[in-house]
Amino acid sequence: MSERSAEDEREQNKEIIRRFVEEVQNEKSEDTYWELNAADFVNLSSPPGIPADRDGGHMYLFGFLNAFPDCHFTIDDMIAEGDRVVTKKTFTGTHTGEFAGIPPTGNAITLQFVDIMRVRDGKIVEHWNCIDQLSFMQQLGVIPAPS
Amino acid sequence: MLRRRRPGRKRKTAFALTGISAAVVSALGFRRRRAKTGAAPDNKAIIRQLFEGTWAGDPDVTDRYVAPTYIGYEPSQESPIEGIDGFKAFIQRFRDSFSNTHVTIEEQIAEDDTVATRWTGRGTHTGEISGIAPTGKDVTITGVSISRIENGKLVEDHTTWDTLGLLVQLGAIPAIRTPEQQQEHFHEHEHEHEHEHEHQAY
Repeated sequence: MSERSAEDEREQNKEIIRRFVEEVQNEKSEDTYWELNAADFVNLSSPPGIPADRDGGHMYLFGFLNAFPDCHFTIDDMIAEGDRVVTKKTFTGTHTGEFAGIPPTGNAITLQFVDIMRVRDGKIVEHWNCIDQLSFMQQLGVIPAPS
Repeated sequence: MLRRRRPGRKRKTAFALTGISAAVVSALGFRRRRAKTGAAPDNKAIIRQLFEGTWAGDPDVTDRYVAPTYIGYEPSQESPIEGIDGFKAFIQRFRDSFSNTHVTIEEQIAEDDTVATRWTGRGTHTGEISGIAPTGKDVTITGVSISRIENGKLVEDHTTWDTLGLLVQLGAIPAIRTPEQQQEHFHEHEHEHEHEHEHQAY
């Protein structure tokens, strides 16, 4: 692949992920979720009890967004190579809805995490993320924070 | 940079100019390609050698690949890790608590001066960590590091890894629950939480 077409692929894939963050995660557009995730999408980081497919991803993500209705995702850094895009993000939100069996706490949450997405023909086919779950659970009060 | 062929030139001159243009374009293009695509594979190799080497106990690899100005952000550390000595001390603290440490590079994505590395770390819990006495358990943790390289050395990185997963494997925290299990657990312990809040009010 020429350098120019490799760069085009990178930029196109990054734009897909930018749209996902802005339209799906920040503007909570379900239409865009279905548009940008391929029918054979696999969530390699699906939580326990949640199906790893596109339907499960939708259920989990929108359940999450509804539990933190004022939430906002900011892209801190993004790199891409081939069919993969790595995004470092900061999430902020207030826990005012039930989430993963945890009743609303009213706690303000700030979390930094990393997504790796694989993109094919303008659609997301795979997602993996790494979140500091300990910090998340401590901020929610599910696990005591160190004294 | 393309130099357009000027219309109306004599064929011989035009041919010569085109030949020069082509050579210039080719030379510039070749240099651009080498700077971009030459850097990315080297950066991946630097991070691979650094990660694999340090966790295997190689004493020299940190000096070779970490800049004196290095700063690292890592979820288990309250303040950033600074410099070559800071990097070595951070690795040593974990190697004091875990024996047979080694890291597997699962995949790397690189663009310009930045490499993202998804990795799996393994070791055996043979020393105290976070107040947890050695359990002898084999642990496996996954994480990702986003590293910036300048002049062949690591200058900055941001690492995220499954800290909760480690504590679960060491038995310090119960396993992650499904939403239904979580709800059940919360209701079972609801009264405990209420009493905690009462005490705190005093």
